[in-house]
Amino acid sequence: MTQLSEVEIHLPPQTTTTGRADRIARETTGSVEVSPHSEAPSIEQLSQLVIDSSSLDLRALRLAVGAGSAGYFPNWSSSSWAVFEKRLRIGLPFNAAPPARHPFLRGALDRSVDPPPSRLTLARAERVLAEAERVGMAVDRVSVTRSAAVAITFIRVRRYGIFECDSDGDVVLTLTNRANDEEADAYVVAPGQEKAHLEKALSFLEG
Amino acid sequence: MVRARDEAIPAEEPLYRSISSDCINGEDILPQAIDLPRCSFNRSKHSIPEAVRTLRRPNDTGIVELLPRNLPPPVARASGSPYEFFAVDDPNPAEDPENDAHCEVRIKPQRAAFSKNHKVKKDVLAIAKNSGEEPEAAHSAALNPPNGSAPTRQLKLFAP
Repeated sequence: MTQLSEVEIHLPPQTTTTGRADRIARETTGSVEVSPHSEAPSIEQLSQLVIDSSSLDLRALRLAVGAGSAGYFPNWSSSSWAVFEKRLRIGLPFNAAPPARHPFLRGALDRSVDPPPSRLTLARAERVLAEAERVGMAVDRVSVTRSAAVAITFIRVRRYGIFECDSDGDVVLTLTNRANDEEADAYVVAPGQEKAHLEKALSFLEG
Repeated sequence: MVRARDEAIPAEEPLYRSISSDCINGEDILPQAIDLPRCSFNRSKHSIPEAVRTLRRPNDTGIVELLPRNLPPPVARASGSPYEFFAVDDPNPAEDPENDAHCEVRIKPQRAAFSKNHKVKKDVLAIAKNSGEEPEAAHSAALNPPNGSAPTRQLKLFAP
């Protein structure tokens, strides 16, 4: 455990850190400015922090900086706090993955409050997205699921091609047409087979 | 005090789950809204629908409703018994210890007991998450705005 002197989460001047907030502070190193009138710090800002995730307690952190939106952070809604906590967790060096390159994937990670997908999951998702760009397929949705998978969705009216990159690093393509009652088709996508499956999805979607 | 687990969930009891707008396209709920082989819901017997919307999930502003009688039919597989859906009471689970309304929709091989250690093939899981329903059996789900006012539209739920 680190010493109190190493605490470098900068809180508003009036803040007193007591109780559980002290515990968070003792177990946290790094530096981040938390401005009472700004948005939550970015992942890049928080990535320098070293935090014991088991001790991270959003309620205690709120106590430390005031009463949330009613205190020193008038512009922060409850969702801002949830995003802040999520970003702190993503910022943990031991499980942090490189920043996502694809803007849709970055957006999905930013919106998600669930545990971040694994490095392997993100790598497979990036590969699908990169190959989609190469074959000229515009992705419609990218989202992070509660089970830390990344779902990449192509939509044509009620036809769906969905690549789900799961927490094991496996990728499954599902092709389904909700306009009829036919059962969906599903294919396990081996590494390196992304392009072939994207073309299969394109053929289905345009069919 | 933790309530006792019910032996069965009535077929007509609504179950609720929060959902993000990312998982909705028109009338369709996308399969990524569903976790399988185990998917968490809240029982209406023990909670109100809005209880599934929590500060932990600020983006999940929608609520889907499921009746156990409308669970999809069994999902066939190349070999072995088909997988069937079932709802089971699961109050105060380790991952949500304060939630005594918690229950789960699960899949298991027909005529076999459910096992958390049973591995379902990924392509079968994907098909199960996409299981459709006959239109007349489809049930509705309300997408509620964040401010908690009246539902703005009705959605057809195509997955458990």
